[in-house]
Amino acid sequence: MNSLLTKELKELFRTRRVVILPAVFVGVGLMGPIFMRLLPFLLGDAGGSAAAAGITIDMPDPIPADGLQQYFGMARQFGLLAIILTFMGIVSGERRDGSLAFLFVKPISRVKYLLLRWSVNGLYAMLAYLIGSLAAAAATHLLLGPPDYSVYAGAVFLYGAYFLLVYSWTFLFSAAFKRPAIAAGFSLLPLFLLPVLGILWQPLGEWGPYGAVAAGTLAIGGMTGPAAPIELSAVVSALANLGLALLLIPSAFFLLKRTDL
Amino acid sequence: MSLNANSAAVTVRGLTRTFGDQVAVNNLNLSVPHGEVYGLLGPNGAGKTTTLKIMAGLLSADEGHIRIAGATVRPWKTDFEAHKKLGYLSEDPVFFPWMSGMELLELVGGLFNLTSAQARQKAKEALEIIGLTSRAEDRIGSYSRGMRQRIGIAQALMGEPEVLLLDEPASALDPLGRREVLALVDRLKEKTTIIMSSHILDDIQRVCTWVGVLNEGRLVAEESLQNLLTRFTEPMMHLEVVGDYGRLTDILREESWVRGVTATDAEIRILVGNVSEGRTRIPELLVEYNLGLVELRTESPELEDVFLELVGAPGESA
Repeated sequence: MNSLLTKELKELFRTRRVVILPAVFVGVGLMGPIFMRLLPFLLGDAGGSAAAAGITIDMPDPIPADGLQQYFGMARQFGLLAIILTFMGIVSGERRDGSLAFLFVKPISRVKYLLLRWSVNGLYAMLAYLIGSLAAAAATHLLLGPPDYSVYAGAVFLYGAYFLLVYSWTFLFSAAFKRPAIAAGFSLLPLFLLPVLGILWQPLGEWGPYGAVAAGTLAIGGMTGPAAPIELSAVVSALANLGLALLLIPSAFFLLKRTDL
Repeated sequence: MSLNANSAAVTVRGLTRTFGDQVAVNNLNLSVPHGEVYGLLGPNGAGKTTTLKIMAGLLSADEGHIRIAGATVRPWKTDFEAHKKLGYLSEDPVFFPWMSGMELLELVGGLFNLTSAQARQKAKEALEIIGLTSRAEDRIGSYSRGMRQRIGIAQALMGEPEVLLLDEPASALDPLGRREVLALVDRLKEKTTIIMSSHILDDIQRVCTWVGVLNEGRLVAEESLQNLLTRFTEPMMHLEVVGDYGRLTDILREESWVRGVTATDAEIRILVGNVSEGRTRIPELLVEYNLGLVELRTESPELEDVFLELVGAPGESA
């Protein structure tokens, strides 16, 4: 098992994957607060020409919550996209190029190997997200003032549980399909479906996988409205996301265990 | 010549595998003796790779069972007895290109529960055997196809396998690479039982001692190379003489050791049942009929002849 762990860690570094996700999350972590800090100036410039046209733009000064909102908004798009693109071939790529066959003719358990691979890369993805979140908090503090760190920590947890779920379903689809692109397609689909289904059916929106994300957004507050407390449904949703993330792994094991290589 | 299942390193019984309505392996029975280099010979699509993959536990079988060095192969099961006893090299081996050759072998050593010191020592030995010591620390991504094939054989040897499965180990290599890999296989036969698939007759004839001929998923022949050659082909003697040899050909056709005679302007070709008798009788007949000898040579039977006999010539339905 140690040699496989060494292999996973070396792979992270040698393929330079180790810098990709942190770079994306730190990028959006810095971009969000910087964008909000610059927004009044950008709108001020636009305001001149708008005033000439008889339009008045009334923009309140951005507060720390706005920087964090912007970060989460970008992380929800670019961060999740980066997670899906990074991990779409995590199993299918090895299956396709034959390296899984090379490993599975050795006396190692397929289940243990997949569990190790899921754990190491999941931990890496979560670390990348945490580093990005820290960068967002630091940039927000510097540019927009100190945010409410306890609320922010809560939102980071709510979002993190959802991100882990996205990572896990990407892993599952990667185990299910031989082509990484198909795995990516199936992984992207729930990102669009879950918010829509949550709007169509309120209980799913509140208690379902996307409920944690919506609650995290509301808890931060900002320009869109005052901060709302984190409800029980959000905590349940986040815990359910963590549970689902763990449940998807045995499904991936089951799929790959019975796959011809 | 049949082989007792107990004396076999590998036994395959009633193996069948279909892909949709395509039967890749059809009720296959194989017995591979200990310490032999067993050539699994067949045209493309005969079922060689499927058979080896099932043996390696990478593919499931619809029916049948396989035993390797006494352990049953069970695809998808976490029962590693068979996997501890076999080494496998796929047709187009792919290893992690970001690893060095040494790292790959150390990884494999670890998978066989060797300590890191043991794995490193074993890796050095394996690299020595395959002649890649000088490139041990280079990334596999920079290796040539032949070097990848050799590192593939090295990784297959790390667990000291009782049975080594090599799927077309030399087919895609250039002549130099082929020669190196076949020489390596030849050296390894001292250490382990080898099953090597190939559609290249020359490769099989060069290193294998036993041959199984597969065609359309069925085993059409299985025995030692020598027996196979003897059973399916008869040696040919080429005789070139000076003088009128019309009478000689008639006499030859009546000799008991002769199976057939064809004569051209240049030579007489004699299909012989007994070469040593031919070597004695031909000089006697030349003296008797006052003919001068220009050349007498015996042509060894080729595996190609056997293969064509069993599988059919290209374009023929086998």
